[in-house]
Amino acid sequence: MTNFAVQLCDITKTFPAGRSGRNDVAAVNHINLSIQPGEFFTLLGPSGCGKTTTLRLIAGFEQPTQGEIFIQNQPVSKIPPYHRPVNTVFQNYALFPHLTVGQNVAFGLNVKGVPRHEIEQRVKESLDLVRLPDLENRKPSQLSGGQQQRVALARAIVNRPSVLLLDEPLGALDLKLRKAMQLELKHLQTQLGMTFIYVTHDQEEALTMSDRIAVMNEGLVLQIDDPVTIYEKPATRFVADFIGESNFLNGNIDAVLSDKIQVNVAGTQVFSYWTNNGLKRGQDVTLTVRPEKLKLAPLNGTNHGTLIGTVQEIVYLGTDTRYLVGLLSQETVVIRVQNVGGDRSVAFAIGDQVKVSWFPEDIRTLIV
Amino acid sequence: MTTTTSVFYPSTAQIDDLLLSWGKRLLWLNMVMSFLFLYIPIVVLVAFSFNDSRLGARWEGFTLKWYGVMVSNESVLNALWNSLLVAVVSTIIATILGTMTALAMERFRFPMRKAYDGLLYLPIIIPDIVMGVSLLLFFALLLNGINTLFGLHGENAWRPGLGTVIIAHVAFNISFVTIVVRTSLKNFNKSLEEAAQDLGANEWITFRRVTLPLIIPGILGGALLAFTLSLDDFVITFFTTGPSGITLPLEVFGRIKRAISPEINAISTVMLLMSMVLIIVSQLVQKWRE
Repeated sequence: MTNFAVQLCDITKTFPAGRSGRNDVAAVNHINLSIQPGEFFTLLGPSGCGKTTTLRLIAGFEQPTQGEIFIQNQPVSKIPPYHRPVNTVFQNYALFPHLTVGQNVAFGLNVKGVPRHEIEQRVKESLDLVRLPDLENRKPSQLSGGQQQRVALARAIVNRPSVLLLDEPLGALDLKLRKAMQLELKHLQTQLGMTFIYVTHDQEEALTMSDRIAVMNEGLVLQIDDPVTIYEKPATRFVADFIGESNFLNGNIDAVLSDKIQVNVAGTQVFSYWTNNGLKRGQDVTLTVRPEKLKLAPLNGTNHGTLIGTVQEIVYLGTDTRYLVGLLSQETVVIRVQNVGGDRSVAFAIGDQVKVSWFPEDIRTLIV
Repeated sequence: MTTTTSVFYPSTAQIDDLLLSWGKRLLWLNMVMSFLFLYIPIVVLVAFSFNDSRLGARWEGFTLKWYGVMVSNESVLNALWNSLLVAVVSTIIATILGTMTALAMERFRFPMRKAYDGLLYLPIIIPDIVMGVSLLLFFALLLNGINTLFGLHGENAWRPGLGTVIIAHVAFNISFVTIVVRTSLKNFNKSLEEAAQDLGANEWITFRRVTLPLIIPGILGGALLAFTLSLDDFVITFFTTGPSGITLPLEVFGRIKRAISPEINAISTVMLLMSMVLIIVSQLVQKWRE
């Protein structure tokens, strides 16, 4: 048997619909997750996708309607939150306002009856670990948001849980602090070798920190993969759209070849190397490609296999320039071009006729 | 050369200024009058408790003798003791029950919760006299039933007294305590309890170490309110007590029926002082809460 830190088997959680008398709402719908020990695992999705409910199910604040959760291969359905080997960093920190920083961090150890001298030592250690020494006697209300966040983190890791659950812990911090804390969290996780289950709606945050990401929407897990695969090979249109920016082109398969498919996009023949078993000639598909994978060139004699359009909008972003090109098929695509040529980089003007091309391996085929 | 007769026409701005300055003065007057209206009777009461005159209509010099008369009066001291006993006991019981009710109402969803919620406010809304009469009826039936059941007669029979007064005070004070405690529970961040449980605290430890310390100012506020209301109550006490359970307000009322004596002024001043101390304590509790 494989050793998993956390395993969710066919978990469904429905909430009563309330007064309206309609059907119950499934916040989480038949999801399966297997999280490895020491993994930084992220649940990513828009608000209301069920990611926080999933975390609360693992913590024990909610009971699954169906399915079983295993923590270190032990079923935990009948185990209350206070007996589970997990700790949570809450979204609003949930620091006890009537206790000092030191008392907050010591709370879990006090409850478990750890000897006094050991408590003092471990509290000090974990406050050092989150780089917050000398604040033990302050009250939470006297700390800044970033400091409160660190106290919440110290209060959880001082208990040395096998799994740490983090519910959008950086959501309330400003951008710069958030970026710094992302790296610090990742560093801390590697240092402690602890399993982190991290909930966020910020795709950049997820890509930065995670070993693996589960993308969720409407109570379903759409894809579980490492950040590179999630970004480069999105499994569904939602994943492609939610993580980063994507262009979508609707087409119809002309021919299925051995290593690629030929797709008719508004009269133009284009190729996609990515083949999927079961694709047939005549089938409608959606092609998706990232803006930075598209190339822009002036029209010339060899326009075969490219899409022709007109530049509609140019946004200069410093590191790169973002072009909006209207195609002949009335669809629009976004193209990002790196500004490697200094102030000569912006080579096109609004109204220019251009051709849009790409390497066939950069385009993905999604079944409609 | 033409001469113009200058006529003074005030501008709109000048009229506004005029109105504003008079408005301010009138507002001040209003405030002063209100305070005078509220406090002159009380000041007169306190002053005349030190008046060396048996009739009390004219000032005849400073004296403390009415306080002496008061403290040497057995029935006044007895009434004061009764009042404090009723207030302390009914406050403790009402605070415990009221806090439990508030917790149940805020935390749980159960059938008829809305109806129960409405019923909780009833003792606050219904007139004291109605509450008094209904409690009188209730106790008459109850005591009659008990006495019949156990065959108690004459000396041994259960009668209305301090016991029934305490039950009556608990009955109306539960509502007040519940309302005050519920407001502090409404502002309570529920994720704090989850955090405590997450850190290994079971339900009881969570309540004792997190919930209770955070809502204790609300509970104390409710208790102070209950104590004041109990000390103050006349109507409900009047209907539910017996000859053995005379509280201070009833004692004062009984004395006024016979003759207005300066001693009553002294008793009232002492009651006023007790209320003021309670208000100061509750203000201090509020401060400490922040």
